[in-house]
Amino acid sequence: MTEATFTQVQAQSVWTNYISKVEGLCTALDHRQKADILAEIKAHLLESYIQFDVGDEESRISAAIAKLGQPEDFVPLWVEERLLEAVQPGATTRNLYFLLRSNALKGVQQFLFSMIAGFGYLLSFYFFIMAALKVFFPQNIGLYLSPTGIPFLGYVDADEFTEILGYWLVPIGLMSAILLHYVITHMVRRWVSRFRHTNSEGE
Amino acid sequence: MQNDNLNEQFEKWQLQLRKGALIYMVLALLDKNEMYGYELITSLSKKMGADMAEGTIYPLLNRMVRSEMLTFDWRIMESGPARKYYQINKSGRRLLERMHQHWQSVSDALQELTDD
Repeated sequence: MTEATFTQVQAQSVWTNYISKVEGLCTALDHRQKADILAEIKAHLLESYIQFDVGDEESRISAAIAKLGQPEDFVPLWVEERLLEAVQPGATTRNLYFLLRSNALKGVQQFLFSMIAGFGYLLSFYFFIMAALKVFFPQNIGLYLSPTGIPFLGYVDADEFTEILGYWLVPIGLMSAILLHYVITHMVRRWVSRFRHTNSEGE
Repeated sequence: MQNDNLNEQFEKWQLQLRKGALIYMVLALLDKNEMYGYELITSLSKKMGADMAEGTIYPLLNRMVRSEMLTFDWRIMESGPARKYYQINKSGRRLLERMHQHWQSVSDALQELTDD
C-alpha cells in the first residue's frame, strides 16, 4: 500500500533497517494486523519525510525516524493493543494464544491464570478429539470405568474396563468441548480486560 | 539542588497531566475535523507545545478505536502515501462532552482556589 524507493543507497538502507525492526517486533500478530501496523508506520514516515524538504534523502528519512521514535519504544505497546483484539468477538484462536503467552510473562497471577486457561483449552480440544475418534474406533475409544471404579476418557485395549457412555460420547463430548471453549474464552476476556484496566490505572 | 528537585517534581506533574489530557485532546481535535495519523499527531505536538515521540500516540489511537470511540478508513491519495483517516463517532462525542464538563468544573474549582 505504501512503499518507499530512494535513489540514495544509504537512505534505502536506513528505511529497510527500520521497517525490518518493526516487522521483527510484530511476530505475535497475524498477517492482517501486522500489515496494518506496517502500513501506518510507513505512511507516517513518508508524510514526515516529505515535510523535511532540506538535506539529502538519508538525512531527511533519518530526521523522520527520529521524530517518530525507535520501534522498541512504541511498537511493543502497539502490538499489545492489537493482541487485545483477542478479547473481542471474532478473535481467532491464534490471537488468544499469543495474548495468553504475552500475558503470562507479566506476573505470577497472570502466569497462573494463563496456565489454567491454557489447560482448559487443551481439555476442550481433548473432548473434541475423543468425540471425533469414537466414530472411527468405537471399540477402543470412550468413557470407561476401571476395575477400581475410576472413570477414564481415552483409548482402552482391555476387557476389564466397562464403557459408560457408548456412542453418547459423540454428542456429549462435542457439547462439552464447545461449552468449555466458550466458558474459558469468556473467562479470558473478563480477566484480560481486568488486568488491562488495572495496568492502565497504574500507568 | 532545590531547583533540580522542583524541576523534577514539575516535570512529573506535567507528564501526568499531559497523559491524562491526551485522550481528551485527540477527541477534541477529531470533533472539529477528521484527520489522518500524521496530521493528528503533528497537531497534538503543536497544541501540547512539547516534543513527543510521535510513535507513542499510535497505541493510544488503536486503543481508542478498540474502545469504539473512533473509527477509521484508509484512503489512497492521488499523490503521496495512502492515509488512514480517523473519525470520532457517537460514543466518542458523548465521552468528549462528559470530559469537557468535568474539565470545566476542575478549572472553575482551581480558579476559585487561586482567587482566594
